[in-house]
Amino acid sequence: MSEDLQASEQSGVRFTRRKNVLFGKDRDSIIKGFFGSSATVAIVVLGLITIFLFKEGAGFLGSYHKSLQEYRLSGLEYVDILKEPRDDFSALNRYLTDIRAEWIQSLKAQGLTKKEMSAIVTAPEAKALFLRYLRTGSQLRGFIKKKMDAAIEVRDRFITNENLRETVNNYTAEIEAVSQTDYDPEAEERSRHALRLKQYLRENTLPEAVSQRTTEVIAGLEGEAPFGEAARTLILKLLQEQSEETRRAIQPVDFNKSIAVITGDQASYATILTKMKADIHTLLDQADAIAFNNPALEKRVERFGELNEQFLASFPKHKAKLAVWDQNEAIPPWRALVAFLTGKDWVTASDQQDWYGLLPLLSGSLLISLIALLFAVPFGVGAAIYVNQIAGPLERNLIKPYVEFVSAIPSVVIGFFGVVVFGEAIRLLSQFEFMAWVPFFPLQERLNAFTAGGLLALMAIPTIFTLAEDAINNIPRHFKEASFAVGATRLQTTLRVIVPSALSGIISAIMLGFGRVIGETMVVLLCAGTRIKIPDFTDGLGVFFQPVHTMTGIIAQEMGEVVRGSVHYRALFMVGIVLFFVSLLINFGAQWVVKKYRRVGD
Amino acid sequence: MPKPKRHRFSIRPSRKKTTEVLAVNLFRLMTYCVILAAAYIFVDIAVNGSKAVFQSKAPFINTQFLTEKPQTLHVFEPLEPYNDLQRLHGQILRLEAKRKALGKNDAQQDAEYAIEISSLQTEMETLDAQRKAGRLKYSDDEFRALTETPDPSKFKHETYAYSGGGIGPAIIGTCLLVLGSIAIALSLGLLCAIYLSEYSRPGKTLQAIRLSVLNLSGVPSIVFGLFGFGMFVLFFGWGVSMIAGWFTLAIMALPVIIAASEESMRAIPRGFREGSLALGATKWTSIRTNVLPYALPGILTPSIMGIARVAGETAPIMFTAAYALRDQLPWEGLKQPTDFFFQGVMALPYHIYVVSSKIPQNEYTRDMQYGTAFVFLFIVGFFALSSILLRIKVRSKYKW
Repeated sequence: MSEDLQASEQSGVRFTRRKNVLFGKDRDSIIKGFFGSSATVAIVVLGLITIFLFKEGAGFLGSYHKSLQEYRLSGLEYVDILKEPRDDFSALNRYLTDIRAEWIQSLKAQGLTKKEMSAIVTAPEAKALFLRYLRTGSQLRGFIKKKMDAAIEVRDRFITNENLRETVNNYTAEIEAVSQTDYDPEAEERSRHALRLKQYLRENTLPEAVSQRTTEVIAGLEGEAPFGEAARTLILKLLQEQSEETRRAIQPVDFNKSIAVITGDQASYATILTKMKADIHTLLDQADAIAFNNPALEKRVERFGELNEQFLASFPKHKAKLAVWDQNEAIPPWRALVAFLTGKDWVTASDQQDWYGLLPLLSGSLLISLIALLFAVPFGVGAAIYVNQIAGPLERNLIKPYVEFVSAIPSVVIGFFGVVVFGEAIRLLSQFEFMAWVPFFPLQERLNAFTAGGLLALMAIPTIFTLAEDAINNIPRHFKEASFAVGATRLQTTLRVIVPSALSGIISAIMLGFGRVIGETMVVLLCAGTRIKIPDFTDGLGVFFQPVHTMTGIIAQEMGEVVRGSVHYRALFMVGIVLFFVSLLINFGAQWVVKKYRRVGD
Repeated sequence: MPKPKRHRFSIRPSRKKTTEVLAVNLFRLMTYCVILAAAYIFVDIAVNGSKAVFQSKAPFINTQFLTEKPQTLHVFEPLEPYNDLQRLHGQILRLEAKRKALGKNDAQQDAEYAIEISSLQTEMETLDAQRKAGRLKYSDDEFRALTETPDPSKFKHETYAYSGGGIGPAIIGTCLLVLGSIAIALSLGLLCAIYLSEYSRPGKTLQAIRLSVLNLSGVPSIVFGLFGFGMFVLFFGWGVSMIAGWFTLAIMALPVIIAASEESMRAIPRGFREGSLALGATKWTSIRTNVLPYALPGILTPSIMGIARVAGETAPIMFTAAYALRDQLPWEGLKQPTDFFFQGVMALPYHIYVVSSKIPQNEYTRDMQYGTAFVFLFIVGFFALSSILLRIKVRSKYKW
């Protein structure tokens, strides 16, 4: 080799490459490294997304756990157990009101005048049942209200104390900073000090000399004067005074003592329950005297009696639950996570306890996705089959770009369309008499899961269409030819040969469509009705027409208003984490399906 | 009509054929349902939006709407027809209730009610026209400039937020957001794609990169918004600013651009590179002179589509870049040049969200709502359409 080199040098011809050496690398490998490092941008971004979601959401479990502990210590949990019979009783009351409304309806249908009707409805025995029933619970309600107020007061005082302690800490830190000899405040701090001193001057009557000195110091702070010893002593004194004052405002809460107020009065609670039981029994016995003359109604009244018996029978169990409740029972740390993942309520900014449960949002998201896919799958796949297998070349060349164009419609425009046109159209349609056969029509809400789902279907169709069409297009030609050769018709070929062969691609297209739907924000935010409640699945198909809220919607709606760093803020990031992993899961699923079921013979 | 006699060799109907025809038509029906549904949205927004954007006088385009800042709309309804209208409306409601209570028992009475209602309705229409002619509409600026406000005993004063003025700052903001994110996404995406198509060897790294790109494309837009908020707005301390929006949107557009660029570069025949290498060029030179120029049209067209989609996203800019209302245009009131990047802007998608959720829907707000949606749809549609048309052209131009 070296001989060759020498030979070439001697002959004056240089075939060797000159190397621009930088850190031992030549130019090409530097370029390669440069591109290589930029290629990892996707990996880096994915990593960063994970890191930042967890960074902001991380504190959630801790603060939520703390909030749950306060909930138990302050006795709010006890009050919530107390509230159970009250809520059951309210439900029974609603049931009764419903019966009454139905009764009046049936009387109206019989063609009675208003006078006759009111005579029947307000007959003494009917009045006794319908009006006095509500009254039987008034004592219970009053009792619970009293306890609840007490518990809320304790909890609020506790939180106030925490805030005061934080203020004291801030004061301490500031005092330390000011007492440093080389303390040189920035403009912002100077004006803060000046403001504080001014307020101090205003609120207190001071000896002439002191107030004179203070005024001078204020002037110095507002001007450019250096931060002197006089200012330091004054400010330090003031800070110490205020800090002390705040410290004094802290009235420690002894949860063990405060709980006595809440869990006390057991005897009177028992009397209230017993009295209620007796009252209800008397009322129900009298109810038999009412002549409804309507078998359906009588059946409902009978059912009402049964429900009441169940309600009254639950009292001992309820009392036992109250007896077992222990204020000092520790809450394990993982409970916060469980409460988040399986919580049935998402209640924020309430005066009692804030709950951050995922289920209402998750179920809303899934319900809307289900509705969207119910439309998008047949239409998307059907259109893909039509365009690829049936349509002529001209039709194909027009429809494919058109669908691509549709996929570019911004989601917020579709959401807007839903608010102004689609939601209203559905409600109007549901009010026509010829639609009355549908059990849950007419609709009350124009914005509900169906409105959002129907529009999301339109957004998912392009995704499903494009990918499914690709999958069908990738089926080798000889599959089709072989099918034709054995005498199959075009439809048979399409449905029994082409579609089954492309099934893995179609399923993955559907999954990606699902991913698009569950991650969509603006349409659900504008059109889903934003009611945070688990949809009532006992309603049959009517569940499709209930207003819901979704994971994406809640983030978009509440993120702008929360206090940074609060439990609520972190809870929203937790929802984001769940969404992120759901979308990754869907993506992996789609890839796995394609890989696993890819047909041999491509 | 007598049934025509069938020829002996003509195709005979059979159940199999009928199902075949039915099925084909079912598929066709589905396809056209989708097409019509989307077309309906286009038409509805175009028809109603054009009322706000176009006008019957020269220059036929409502420049005020396109250039002015959004303002509160002050409406003065003349009280007299307004009160009459309310009264008539009440009468009609009462009559309708009566008519409903009547049921189907009395056809004659029912007809009488119907006549009465329709006469009341015509009366309402004339009054409504009178009201429309008599009402006064002012944008906030005009209202402040008034020397005397209309007499409150004759006019009913109502205000509607965001409904007056125009959407100028939102249009400008959207354009700036799109331009910035296009630049960032294209440069990053191109670098990534050059590596993937020219330098990479099959292996673990390549697989990881591909997997990430694929997964990144499935991440919901709101998660990008949260990420941008956490990283750019809070961690980097950029605040709600244009630059935070640029990066958030650019990251969203990356997967599309990487995929498009790589595909386009792979489509360049090997011979192009080999010819260059054979002449003694380095690898980078041959990429620069023999691959990129031919791949560029193919890279640009899907990228425009990707950008059109990203421009339509609201969720990522909600907490990173968009303000609901900003009085100044981006180049006004800057203390130093870098402030330009660190200011929030108004954006069309966010403006649509605000006007369709935060203000009521009625005849006064409708123009603003539909007008914004129309302009936005027009901009996005323009990008998308040009991408589609360009691609058709590029495909027919380069064939190898």
